Amino acid sequence: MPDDLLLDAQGVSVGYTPERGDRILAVREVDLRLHQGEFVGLVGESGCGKSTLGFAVTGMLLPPAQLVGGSIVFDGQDIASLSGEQLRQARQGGFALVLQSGMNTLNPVRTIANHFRDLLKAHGSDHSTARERGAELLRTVHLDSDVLDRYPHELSGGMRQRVSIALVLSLEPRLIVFDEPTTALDVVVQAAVMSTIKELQRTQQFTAVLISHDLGTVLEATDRVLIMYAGQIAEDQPAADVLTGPHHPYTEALLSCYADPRADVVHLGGIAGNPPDLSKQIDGCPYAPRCPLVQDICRRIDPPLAPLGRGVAACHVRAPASKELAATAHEVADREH
Amino acid sequence: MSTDRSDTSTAVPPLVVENARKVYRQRGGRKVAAVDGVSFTVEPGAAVGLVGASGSGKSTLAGMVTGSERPTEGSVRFGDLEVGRLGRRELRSYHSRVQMIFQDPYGALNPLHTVGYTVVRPVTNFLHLDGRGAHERVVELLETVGLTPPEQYLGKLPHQLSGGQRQRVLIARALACEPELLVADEPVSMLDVSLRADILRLLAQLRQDRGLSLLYITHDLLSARVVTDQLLVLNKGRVVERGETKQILQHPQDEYTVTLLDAIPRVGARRQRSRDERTPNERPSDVVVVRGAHPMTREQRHG
Repeated sequence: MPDDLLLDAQGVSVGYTPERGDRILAVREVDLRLHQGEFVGLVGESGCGKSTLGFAVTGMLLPPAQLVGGSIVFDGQDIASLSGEQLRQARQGGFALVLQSGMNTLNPVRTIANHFRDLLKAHGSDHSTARERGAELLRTVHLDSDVLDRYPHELSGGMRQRVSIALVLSLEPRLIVFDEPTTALDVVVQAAVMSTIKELQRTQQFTAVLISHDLGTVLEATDRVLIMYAGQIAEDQPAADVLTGPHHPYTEALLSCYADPRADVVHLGGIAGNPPDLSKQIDGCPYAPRCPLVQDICRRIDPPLAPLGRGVAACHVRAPASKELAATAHEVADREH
Repeated sequence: MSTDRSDTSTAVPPLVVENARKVYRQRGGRKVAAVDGVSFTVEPGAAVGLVGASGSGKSTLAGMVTGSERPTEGSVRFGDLEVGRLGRRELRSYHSRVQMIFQDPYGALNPLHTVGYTVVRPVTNFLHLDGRGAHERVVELLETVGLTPPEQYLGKLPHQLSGGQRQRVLIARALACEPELLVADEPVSMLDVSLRADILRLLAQLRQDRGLSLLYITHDLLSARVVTDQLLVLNKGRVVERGETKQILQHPQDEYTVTLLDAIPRVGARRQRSRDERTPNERPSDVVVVRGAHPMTREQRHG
């Protein structure tokens, strides 16, 4: 493992087993490698498995979600096998999650100062200096220290989300997964909170994953973007290349959803059709039924990730090496049979 | 407006908001004007956008238009009706003419009611149809909002639908009583970016096919550009800029409008630039909403 590799998740599969009905495979054999100090975006439509993957790599999966395959190694430690108490210890200086509704997870009857005290206490840290530490952390997220004596309902949505980021920072995690941290906020506040997240990531050098359905926001903040579709990675590219691509047809479709409201002619796209049912076996490329470039092979063989530009993509058409890789894999499978 | 129209009973009136003010009293007696002297008119068939960040007063204005809030001063009139003075029964009949759709398609549907039941209720209550007639009307409505084949959706519960499909059910429910004005408060902001274009296209199409007037409330200037012709930019309860949508977005005069424009991720602008470079002479209609790989312009929609 090269020393700057912080997270190495391989072949991760996560299933949801409902009380009735078939198991839904929300994440299907995904590899995710995060390097120290990297800022990675995880993008896709609702239900593509992006949040589930984020939960899996931070050890936050709760039943009925279950890790059904693969390994997740964080800083040399396999976190998939850790129990509740061990996980809690690993989170100290390890990894943390900021949620979309994180601003609503604050306790309405506790002041912000008490939130810092409770958190540090729960993680066995020195909480006698919680106030000072809290004030300092609030400053880093551009809040006044008098916020310490306020209750959550006295703060705006943007301020509450800043508080929940400050709380997460108090444990000095090396990996922070932000799950739609600004989706519930309005545009202006969203831009301000995102710029704080970017700044924190740069100055504090933690590794970050930004999960969002909004490719536009992700491209502004991150170094590398993973596009997820139907529980798999469809494309992995440096953020700087996503606009200039060649890319996966799905990435292209996501890009078509953006336009400049100032333009003389506004072209606004959407994506026709729905993602596949993840409780069923998927034959071929999961995007094939919605893909304008679909070929015969796409309906039969699921394309593996293959080099495209400076990254990789899973597409027979755009990343021709997918075809060769798929062919080799089939030969191997045939020989083994 | 032609006041001498002979058949006044069926003519759609304009919505006229005049110098509306809404003052809330905070704890401790301090007064805050959420809306502070706003005037505008939605002419029949027009689409007017109210844009602004949270706290700009846009949802309070929507509340005054739909009758859930009464203006502290000023008036909201729809034809002869003074909306702020309507009693409960009058308000009910007003709501058969003015309907709303909201931001949260997840919270606005009763989880225990099927799509069919949700949409048939207003059909029974407002149009007084029942049995076969009501059923046919519901099927028609589901077709209008693109939930096809309708039979497949009638028996579904909200949790079996995606966010975009739920928002379509809500639009079908709003259309059920054949309203003249639709008030849409952030109808796409909780949907995936990939689903927004479809809902926006539906709104634009309804306006065209049914002559529906639209009051569209949003903080998203791109969607405002797609569905509205006129725009009011609100800041702290006051109108800071108003005019033709495209004109305002291309030549914003107020600093606050510029802030809103600057908050938009640059990906759209950068895409636009590369598109302009590729096709410098292409000038079709003003707004083209493309569905997936199949471009669809207004002409084709009717073809």
